[in-house]
Amino acid sequence: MSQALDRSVLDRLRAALDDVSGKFVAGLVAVYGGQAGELVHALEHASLDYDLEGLSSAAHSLKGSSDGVGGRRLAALCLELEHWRGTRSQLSSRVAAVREEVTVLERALATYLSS
Amino acid sequence: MKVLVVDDDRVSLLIAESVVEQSGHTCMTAADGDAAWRLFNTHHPEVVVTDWMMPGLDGLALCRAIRADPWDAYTYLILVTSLGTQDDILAGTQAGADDYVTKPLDPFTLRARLLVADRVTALHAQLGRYREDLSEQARTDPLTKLHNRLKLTEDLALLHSRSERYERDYSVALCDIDEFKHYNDTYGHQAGDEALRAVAQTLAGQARRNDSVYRYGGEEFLLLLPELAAPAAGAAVERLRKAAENLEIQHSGSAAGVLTLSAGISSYVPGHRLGAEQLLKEADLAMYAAKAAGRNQVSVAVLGPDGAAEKGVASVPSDRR
Repeated sequence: MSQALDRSVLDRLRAALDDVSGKFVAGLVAVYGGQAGELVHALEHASLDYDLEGLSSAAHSLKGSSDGVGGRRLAALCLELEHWRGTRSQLSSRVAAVREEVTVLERALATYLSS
Repeated sequence: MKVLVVDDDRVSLLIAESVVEQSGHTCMTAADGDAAWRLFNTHHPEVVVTDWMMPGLDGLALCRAIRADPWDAYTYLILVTSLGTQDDILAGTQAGADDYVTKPLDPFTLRARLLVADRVTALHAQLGRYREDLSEQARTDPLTKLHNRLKLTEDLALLHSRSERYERDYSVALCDIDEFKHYNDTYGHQAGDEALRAVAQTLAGQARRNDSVYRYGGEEFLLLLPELAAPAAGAAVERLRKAAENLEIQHSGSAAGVLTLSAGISSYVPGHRLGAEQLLKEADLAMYAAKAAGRNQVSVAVLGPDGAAEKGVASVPSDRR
């Protein structure tokens, strides 16, 4: 199974944006954390209401921002929710998996920043 | 360049904003298409980098709205998309996008696209300036630097429709240099050109600020006098005739011994049925009546109460020497 965080994404960002101090990437991770929390909340609401449009929209946004910080595995989970083909009963467990993966990714991001 | 970045994803927005600013451009940001459209209309950015899927107006709709804006000189549009199929790229281009980048946003790719955008927008700005210059040249008489007949046609149509709609007076005055062929034959074409320039400069300099002076033909000048009907228009043109005479350009073929003008005026007043073209014809007839009456004078076309020409002219009192 792939890593939660593809560190090369943030490494490339730091190099391309001349972010020697890591300040930009730290800011980006903070913004991601705030946004991911909101989007997971939106996913849970959409799941409860079985609002597939809202689900797709929140999953699309979380996919994009997770991909942007190197969260490839989470992005793949979000892609599944964006084009949800499963049943209503399967949905809540997939949303829970996304929430868990967000936590894993945030931990990996914190480790990246402290290294 | 002013660059507008539009994305509901704050991570992508932050990366794009950083790339734009590091590339030396001014960056504005919007979190959705509707906010972007408002910013676009207020700040007129040269480049818009927009996400495709957003709440409200999406990226495609934003591209279409910008391309449909008749006042837009040329905004370079870059679509940011995670949809990378050929059909999607084609749809984006058809909506008006010039280029696209895929998500996750790669700073190097966006920076390269901004270099292209900078070059293309600079070319469009240059093209816009050339277009303005050409438009001005196409409406300017090269010898006298007065506006020419093309500009007259446009201005007269506008003045006539405004005067009809708002029920205002206006006059047209056709001025012709007397015995100009004789002047050219006697003093040469170079002197003739100088005389035309001198008369043009005098008419333009002495006309009221809201009046417009055009070179109508060889030695003919036409004036549009908004908000003025005969007899006030007659007095205004008589002042110009006098100013031209006072240039004292020697002319052995003229009865006055100097270069002079004959002028004919016709006036539109609310309720007239006359069109602009007919007014020009009436001014022309009045000018020929001034010539027939001895030149170096101003005649006014006499029009009926509904504007129908009564085939008559009235001379404007003159203080000729």
